[in-house]
Amino acid sequence: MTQSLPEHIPGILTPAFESDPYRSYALMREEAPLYYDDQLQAYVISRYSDVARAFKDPAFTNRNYEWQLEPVHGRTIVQMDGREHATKRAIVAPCFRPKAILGKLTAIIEGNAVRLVDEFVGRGSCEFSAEFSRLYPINVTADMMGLPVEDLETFRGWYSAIIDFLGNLTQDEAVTQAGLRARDEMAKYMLPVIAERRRNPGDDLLSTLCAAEVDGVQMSDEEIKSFASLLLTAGGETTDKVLTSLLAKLVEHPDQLADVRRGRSLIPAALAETLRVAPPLHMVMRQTAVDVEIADGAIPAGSTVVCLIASANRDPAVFSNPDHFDIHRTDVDASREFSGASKQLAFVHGRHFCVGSLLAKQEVEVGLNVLLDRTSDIRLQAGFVPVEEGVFTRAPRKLLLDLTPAP
Amino acid sequence: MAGHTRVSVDMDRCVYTLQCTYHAPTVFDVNDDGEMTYTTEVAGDAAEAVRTAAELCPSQAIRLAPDTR
Repeated sequence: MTQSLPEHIPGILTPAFESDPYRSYALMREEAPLYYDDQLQAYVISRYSDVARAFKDPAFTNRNYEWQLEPVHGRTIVQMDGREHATKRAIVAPCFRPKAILGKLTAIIEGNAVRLVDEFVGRGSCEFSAEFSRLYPINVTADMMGLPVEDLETFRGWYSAIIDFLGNLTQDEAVTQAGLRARDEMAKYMLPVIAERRRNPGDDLLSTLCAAEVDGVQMSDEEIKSFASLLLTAGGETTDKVLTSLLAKLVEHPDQLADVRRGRSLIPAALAETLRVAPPLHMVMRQTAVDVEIADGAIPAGSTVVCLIASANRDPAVFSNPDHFDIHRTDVDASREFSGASKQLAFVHGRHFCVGSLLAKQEVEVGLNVLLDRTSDIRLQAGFVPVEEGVFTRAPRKLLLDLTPAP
Repeated sequence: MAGHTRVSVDMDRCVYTLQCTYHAPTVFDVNDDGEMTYTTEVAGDAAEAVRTAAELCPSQAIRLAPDTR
């Protein structure tokens, strides 16, 4: 018999959970590693071993995305399994391999980082979240797809509407309608662009996806549009949030920021540690294909399962001193953290391992390097304390920084 | 043989994404019983394809070593 959550543990949709989810995670791992959440109508797992298993065991499918993501993006690789997933992933994956990301994309990524940082650095202060994190991944994505810079504002509107739609836990009707409107407008904008790239290919991502073929299979215009929507929002919001979290963690630990400033090769370790201790996506869902025994309990076939990534990443059974932010930790090997061999679970594990992990790493690495190159000091504004917000996705909403421009 | 690469797959890691069967189809395959089969020693274009497959394997299950015999 699967238990419900003991009353003294704040559940996922409570205000106490949002203000400190980490306290709930610790209690869940200890006292209720599997429970049924009546409000979410889902089973919840929190221990590292159980969450990692859910990502690898074929009994846990991604069919939940049929109602979570498909209404707004259309059908994409995140919800596919088996042969369909294998073929479609093989078509898009080469666009995100090291050769592609470290090659011609570097100039696009760096150009966008420089443009944004130069806007605020001379002023000696910024609200990093609004002036950098929220803009940068969308700008890079639109640039990768070869979309004109004057359309960026429109893109941002769709991005916000779709993100709000995905986080609409209370099913607010106005938010739902705005999300669906953004989906329709984006489709109306993207489909003619994709058709044009098929006729006159360039060297952008959309043209590459139009031409890509695996086993005689190509992506349809509709599928490319859906993938672009997924890349813009799902890929954009995660990078946006982790950038703000990374900067917040570094300015809250000035000694570690100084280490990173002196030794830039520590940036991947700093990012990996942020992904572990403050992942942008705190939880993902799965759906059971069969009855499953897990965490000394049972989940019936056809159930929704909430996998608490942020809890697994702080499981003391796997990470020593797990609540401590330490870019020098020896129980994590940063060089593996952006591949399917990662220890932290922010990119999930197994067949759905994030196809854009290297793009995310490169965007963060380049962005932080540009910021450090153009400053000699970065610190929190006096009296400002970054506060994490959000339940499914989470990061400080605001990050007020003072900067000393480099001489 | 010099210039050859030895290939192995860590079956504890492999989750059957079958990405390798697309990126290096001459090396990796799945037999009628659904089991992974692969060539253990490759060279030339096949070695290059195996490197791509190893890079793109979502579970990083493909191990490569220069054949030093």
